[in-house]
Amino acid sequence: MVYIDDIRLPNMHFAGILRSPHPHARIVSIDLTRARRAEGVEFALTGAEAAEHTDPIPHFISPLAFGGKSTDVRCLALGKVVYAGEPVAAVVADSRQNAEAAIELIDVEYEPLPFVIDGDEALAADAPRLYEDWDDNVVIQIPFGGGDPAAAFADAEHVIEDELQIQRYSTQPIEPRGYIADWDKSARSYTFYGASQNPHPLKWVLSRALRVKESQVRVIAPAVGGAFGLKMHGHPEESLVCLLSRLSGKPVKWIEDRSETLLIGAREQTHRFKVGFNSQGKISALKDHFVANVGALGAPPGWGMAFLTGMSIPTGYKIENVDVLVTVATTNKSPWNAARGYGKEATNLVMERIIDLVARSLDMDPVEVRRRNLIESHEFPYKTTGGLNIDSGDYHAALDKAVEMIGLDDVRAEQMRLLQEGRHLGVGFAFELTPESGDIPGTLVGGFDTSTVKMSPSGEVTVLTGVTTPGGGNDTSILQIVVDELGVTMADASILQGDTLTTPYGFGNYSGRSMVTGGNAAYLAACDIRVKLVEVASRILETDNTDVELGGGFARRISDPSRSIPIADVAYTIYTLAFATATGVEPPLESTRTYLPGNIQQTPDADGRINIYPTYSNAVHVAIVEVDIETGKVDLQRYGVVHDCGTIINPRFVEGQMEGAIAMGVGAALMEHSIHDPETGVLTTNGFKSYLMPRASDLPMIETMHQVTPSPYTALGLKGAGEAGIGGAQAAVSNAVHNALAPLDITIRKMPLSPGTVLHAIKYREKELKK
Amino acid sequence: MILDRFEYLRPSNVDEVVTAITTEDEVAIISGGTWVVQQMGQHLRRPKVVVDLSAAGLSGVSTNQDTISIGPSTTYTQLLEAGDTPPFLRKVASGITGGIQIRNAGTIGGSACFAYPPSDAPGALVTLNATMVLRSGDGQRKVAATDFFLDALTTALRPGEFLEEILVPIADTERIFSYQKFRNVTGSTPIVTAGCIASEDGLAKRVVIGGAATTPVVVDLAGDESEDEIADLTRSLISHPWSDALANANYRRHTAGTMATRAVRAVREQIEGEER
Repeated sequence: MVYIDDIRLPNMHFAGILRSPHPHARIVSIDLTRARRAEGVEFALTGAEAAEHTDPIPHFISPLAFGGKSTDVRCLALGKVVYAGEPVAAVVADSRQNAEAAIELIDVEYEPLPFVIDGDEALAADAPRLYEDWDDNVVIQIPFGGGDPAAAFADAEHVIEDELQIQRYSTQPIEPRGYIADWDKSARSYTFYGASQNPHPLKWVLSRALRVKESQVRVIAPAVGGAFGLKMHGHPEESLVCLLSRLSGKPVKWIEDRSETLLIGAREQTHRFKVGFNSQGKISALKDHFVANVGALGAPPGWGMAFLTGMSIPTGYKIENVDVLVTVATTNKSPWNAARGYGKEATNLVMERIIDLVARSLDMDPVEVRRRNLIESHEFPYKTTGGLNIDSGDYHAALDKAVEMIGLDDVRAEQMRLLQEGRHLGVGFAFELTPESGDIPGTLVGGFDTSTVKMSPSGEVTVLTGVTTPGGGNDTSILQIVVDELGVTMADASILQGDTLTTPYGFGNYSGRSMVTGGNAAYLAACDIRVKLVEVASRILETDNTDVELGGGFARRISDPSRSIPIADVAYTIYTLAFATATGVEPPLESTRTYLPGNIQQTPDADGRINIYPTYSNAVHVAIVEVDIETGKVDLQRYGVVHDCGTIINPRFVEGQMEGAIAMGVGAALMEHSIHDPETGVLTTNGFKSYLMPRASDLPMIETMHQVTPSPYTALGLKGAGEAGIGGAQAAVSNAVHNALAPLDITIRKMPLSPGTVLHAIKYREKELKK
Repeated sequence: MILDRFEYLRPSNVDEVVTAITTEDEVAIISGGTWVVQQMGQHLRRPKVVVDLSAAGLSGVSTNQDTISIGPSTTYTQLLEAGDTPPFLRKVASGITGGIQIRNAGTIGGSACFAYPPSDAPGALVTLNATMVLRSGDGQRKVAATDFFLDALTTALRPGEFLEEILVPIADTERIFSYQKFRNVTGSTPIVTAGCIASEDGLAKRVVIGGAATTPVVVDLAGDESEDEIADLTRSLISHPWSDALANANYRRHTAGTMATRAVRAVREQIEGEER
C-alpha cells in the first residue's frame, strides 16, 4: 500500500503554512522579506497574491442552493481572518524543516476584532459578525415537520421540555490529510496526489479555484488511512498546494500535523425539545428547535450535517406531528467538515434520550416505550414527516434480539443487588436509524456511481470504479461480487480506484454508499460479461446456454460437470475467434455500468418534501455501565448490537465498520471534546493528551448480531453500512449512565459524560435534594 | 518537527555529564526524552545543547544497607523487571499512561525532573520519602523529595546541576501500601494520585496526593480520622490547584479527597487483614 506521505517525487519541495493566532482579526500587513531570505526557501505567498491567481473554492454543498447565505472561502485569508488556525501565508522550501522554520519569519500585523465562539451568543443582535455583508451570523434556517404539532401538544396528556448540548468533536483518522501537487509547465496541467475521498468532484473544485479546465487536472488518491468525512474536499490546503507548485515551479508536498487535523470541527449542536405523549407512552407530538455551531463557514460539506440532523427526525418512530427548526450559526471557531454519521448521529442521540425521558416520566420500561412507537414491519415503506421514505426493516424483532442478547432480566436483577451495596449499574438501549447512500440535489453529492469490469484474453479481471475506499474494505467486497458473478477466483481479479484518469466518473466515498452504488454497478457490469462468457462457453461445451455454470475458474455443463473449460479459454476464444466460435458476441469483454438506486426523490412532493436517501439501515444498541458516584467515572462493562443493513457481502467488513463506529460513539459519549479557550478563542485540545479517544482497554468486547432485511430498492438488497453506530453508541451509553443514576433522578444536559460532568450533576442534585 | 540545529551530547559517565551541562547555552537534559523531545517538536523548547543521559550509567536499582538506590535513568520497564524495586514503585510503574513505548523509554528520574504535576513520579517519590541526590561541578547535595518539587514544571535543580541518584529508605518499602490513581480513560494522564504507606506503628498516617496541585501535597494524619475527615482535610490542603483540559481545579480537589480516602481505606483493610 502506498499512502500519500510515501510518495516522493524528484525535486519535491515542501509547503509551510502560517496560520492565524487570532479568532477574528483584520490583516493590516504581511511582510515576507525575512521568510524569503531564509535557508532553503524557494517561494513565499500572501493571501492577496494568491487571490490574483485563484478564485474562491466552490462549496461542496452551497447554502445558497437551500436558501441560505454563503461567503467566499479562499486558499489563504484575504483581508481578515475569521478563525484561529486560518491559513494566512505560505512558503515553499527544500525541506519540511526549512519550510516550518521560514513561516516563523513571516511578519504579520493583525488588528484583533471582537469574536464569538458560542452558538447561542452568535445569534444575539449585538454579536460580533463574521461576514460584514451578512446582517447576522445565521447561515441558514430550515424547518422540517408535518401534521399539527400545536393541536397535538394541546391534546397531549403529558408534555416534557428539555435540552441537550452536544459537544464539538471530530474524527481522527490514523493518517492525517496530505497533498502533493505537481504542475507540469509544458503540458500546463496539474497532477494532484491527495488523501481524498472524492477525486472526481475534487478535480472540478480544483479547476474552478485554480482557473484551469478540468482536463488540466488529474487527481490521484492513493491508499487512504481512514477518512470518516474529514477527507472530503474544500480544504484550503488543496488548491493552495497546487498554486504553490505552479508559482514555485516545484512539486510541492504538504502533510498535515495532528494539531491541524484537530482544528477541523463537527457536530456541535444545542437541542431544545418538547415531546407530547399519553399515559401508555405513545408519542403524539415532537418539537425540536436546535442551533448548530458550525464555526466559520468553510467550503467542505460540514454545515450540511445540521441539515440532515433535522431531516432525519424522528428516525424510525411513528410521530405524525413534528416541528423541527434547524438554525445554522457561524462563529469564530474553525470550520466543520463532514464527520461519520453526517448529522444523523445527533438525531439518533436526541431521539433516544427523548424516549428514555418519556419512559422515566411514566415509570415505564424504556424498551416498551420503543416498542409502542417504532414503525411496525408491515408498515414499510414508511414516509416520515421529514420526507424520508424508509425502505424496510423489522425494528421490533431487532429490539427483542437485543433484549435477549444482553439477558435483560438478569442484568436488572444484578442492578438491584448492586444498588443495595451502593453501586450504580445501568443498562441503556438505543434504536438507531441510519439513512445512507444519499444524493443531495444540485450538488456533486451524487446518489449513483459507475463501475467498469474488464476481462482480458488471459481471463484476468480488472474492476475500475468511481467509488474510493477509506481503508474499510469496499475494494475487496466489490471484487467479491464480481468474481462470484464471473466464476473466477480473487487471485485473478484486481481493482483500481481513486485515479481520475483511469476510473469512470464517480463521487467517491461517503454516506455508506460504496457497496450500494459502486458494488451494484460492478454487479451489473459483471452480469454483462457473464452473458457473453456463458454464450461462448455453451458453444464450446456443445450445450444450451441455460446448461452452463461458472465457478472456480471454469465453465461447465450443469447437466454433466465433467464437461468443463477454463474461463480463461472462453475469454481467449472471444478475443481470437470473433468471426467463428464467438461470432455475434461483441468484444471486448468490457462493460461500464451505472447503478442508480431506487427510492431517491429529487423533485419535492406536494408538501415540499424530498427523499435524498435510498436505504435505511437500523440497529439496536445496548450498553451496560457502572458509574462511580464518588468520581463520576463511567465504566463501560458490556456492549451489544443487533444490526440490519440488508444483504451482507462480507460480514467481517460490516462488523469492522460497526465496531469502529461504536468505538467512535463511545468516545463521543464519554470523552471526545474539542475545547476552545473562551478568553482567547483558540483550540486548547490540540493533541491526543488533551483530546481523549477511547483505547482498546476502554472498550469491552462488542457483541454483534446480524438481522437481514434486504432493501427492496437496491439490486442486491444492500443497505449502507458505513455510518451506523455512532449515534446508537452515544445514546445507549448515555441512556445507561442515566439508568445507573436513576435512583438520584439526574438528567445530564451536556455531552460528553466525562467524570467531571457526571460528578458535577451528582453534586448539584445532592444539593437540590438537601434544600 | 524540531526546527533548530542543536548540539547533541551523550556522555558516558557522571564527570562527562557535569562537563556537558556546564555551559552558558540553554541546555536540555534528556533521559528517555518522552517529554522534552515532544516539546522540542512543538517548538515549546529550543535548546542549543541536548545532553542525553541514557549512556551515562545512571540506570538500575540496587540495595545498600538501609537504602535502595534508583538510577534516575531507570525506565519504567526496568523498574518492573528489577528485583530490588520497591513494591510501591513497581505498582506505580505498571500503570504508566502511554503503553509499552512510554514504559520502555520514559524514566523515573526524567519524569521527576520534568515535574509535570499530573505525572505519577513526583507524588510517588514523595510518598516513598525519597532523597534526591543532585550533582554539579561543585559536588553533590541532597534534597528531600518534598523539597525538590517547587512548582509546576519547576524543581530545586540549579543550572549546571542534574539528578544523579534517587535514594529510598528501605524501611518504608517493606510496609503495607496503597496507590490509588484516577484517570478519565486509559489514554489520559492521571487526574489525581494518592499514595499511602503504613507508618512504623502500623497506621495510615501519611497520604501523598499528586495531580491535584502544582506540587505533591502531603496529608499528615493521626491515624484514627474518619473517612469524611480525611477527605475534607485533603481537600483543604490543596492550596495551589492544578487545572487543565482533562479536569478543572474543583474536580481535582474533590477527587483528591476521594482518592486519599480510598488509599487510607485500602491500607487499613490490609492492616486489619494481617492482624486477623
